[in-house]
Amino acid sequence: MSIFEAIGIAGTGVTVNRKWMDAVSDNLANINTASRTADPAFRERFVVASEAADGKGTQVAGIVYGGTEGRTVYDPSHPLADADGNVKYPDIDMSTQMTNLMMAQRAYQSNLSVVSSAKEAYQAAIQLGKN
Amino acid sequence: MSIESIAALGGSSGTIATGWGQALDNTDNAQMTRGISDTVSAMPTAPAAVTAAGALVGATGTPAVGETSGSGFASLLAGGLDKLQALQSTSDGLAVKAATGNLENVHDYMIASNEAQLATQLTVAVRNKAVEAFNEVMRMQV
Amino acid sequence: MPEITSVALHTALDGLQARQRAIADNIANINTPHYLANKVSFEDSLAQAVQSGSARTVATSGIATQKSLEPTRENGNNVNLDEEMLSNISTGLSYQTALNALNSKYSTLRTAMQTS
Repeated sequence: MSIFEAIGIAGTGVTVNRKWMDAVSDNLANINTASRTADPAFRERFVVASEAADGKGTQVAGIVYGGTEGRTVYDPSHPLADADGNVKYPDIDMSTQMTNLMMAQRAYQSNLSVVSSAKEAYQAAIQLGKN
Repeated sequence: MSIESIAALGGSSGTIATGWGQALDNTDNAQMTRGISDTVSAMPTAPAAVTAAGALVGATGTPAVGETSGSGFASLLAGGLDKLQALQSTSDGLAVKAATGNLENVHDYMIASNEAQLATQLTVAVRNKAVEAFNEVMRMQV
Repeated sequence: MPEITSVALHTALDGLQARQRAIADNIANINTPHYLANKVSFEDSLAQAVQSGSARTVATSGIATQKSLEPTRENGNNVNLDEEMLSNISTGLSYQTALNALNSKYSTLRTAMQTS
């Protein structure tokens, strides 16, 4: 849709940042997901953004997953603890996640404000010549 | 399309138009109706119209003031009408683009449409003034 | 008034209206399991009809509603809220533009009809 293009372009930014927020909330939700030491830990999700294929805006190029090693914690009372009393937690840094969340949220808001000013501008253009 | 309607309306005052046409240069009716509406779309035409009117009066006795021939006036009118037609087709073309979502810039269309509308208003105003002037001349006591 | 620009604008208004209705439907069903978003398309067929040059073809050029093929979420629903909201804004603006265009066509005709 090439008419009202600015809205579409800002819209791609909104979508990418929403997906980033989805990934961050996924990571945070699973920050305490324990697993057996023999099993893979929850893998951290990273959203990779790239310029849109048609050159108009941005897009999610793919999701990259973190490692399965996680960090081993000694917690013999845990039902999933192994013979040595160890369980595995995902290696997710809470403060990094929170920073990412703030960045994604700000970018999301900026894109939305582009949408609303573009909307106002287009509306003004539609009123052009009407007094 | 709206041009046609203007011309049609002009045609309804057919006798007036032919009257003018003969006095000026035997311009045919169609050309004349086009012509009248045209004067206004190009403002510089106005003085030409005045001189042409002067020549018309001059024919009855007083020496003509302007050298402008009637055909010059008519062609100016025709040229102006062509310009109006062009403005309207530009505006129509952009309106179709807006309808099919291929419009690049909204303001391009709005500007074109406003120009076309203003030109039409100007043309109609001139046509009405010309008809008025003709009626005035017709009422003149010889 | 079988004039191609006005007819095209009329068809566009129909299509935009249908799209707005589809958006309302999609947003209403944002949490409905196994609901697939409706997508309305009319621009391409309208552009083709205008190319053909016949007002009748333009008037009957189709407005198609299709189910979105986007990947679904876990509940089988594929409505994308931000996409729908933005599409809502552009559709509204397009509608206003087309309405404006039609309005100015009518007012030009009205001007042409003025005699004094």
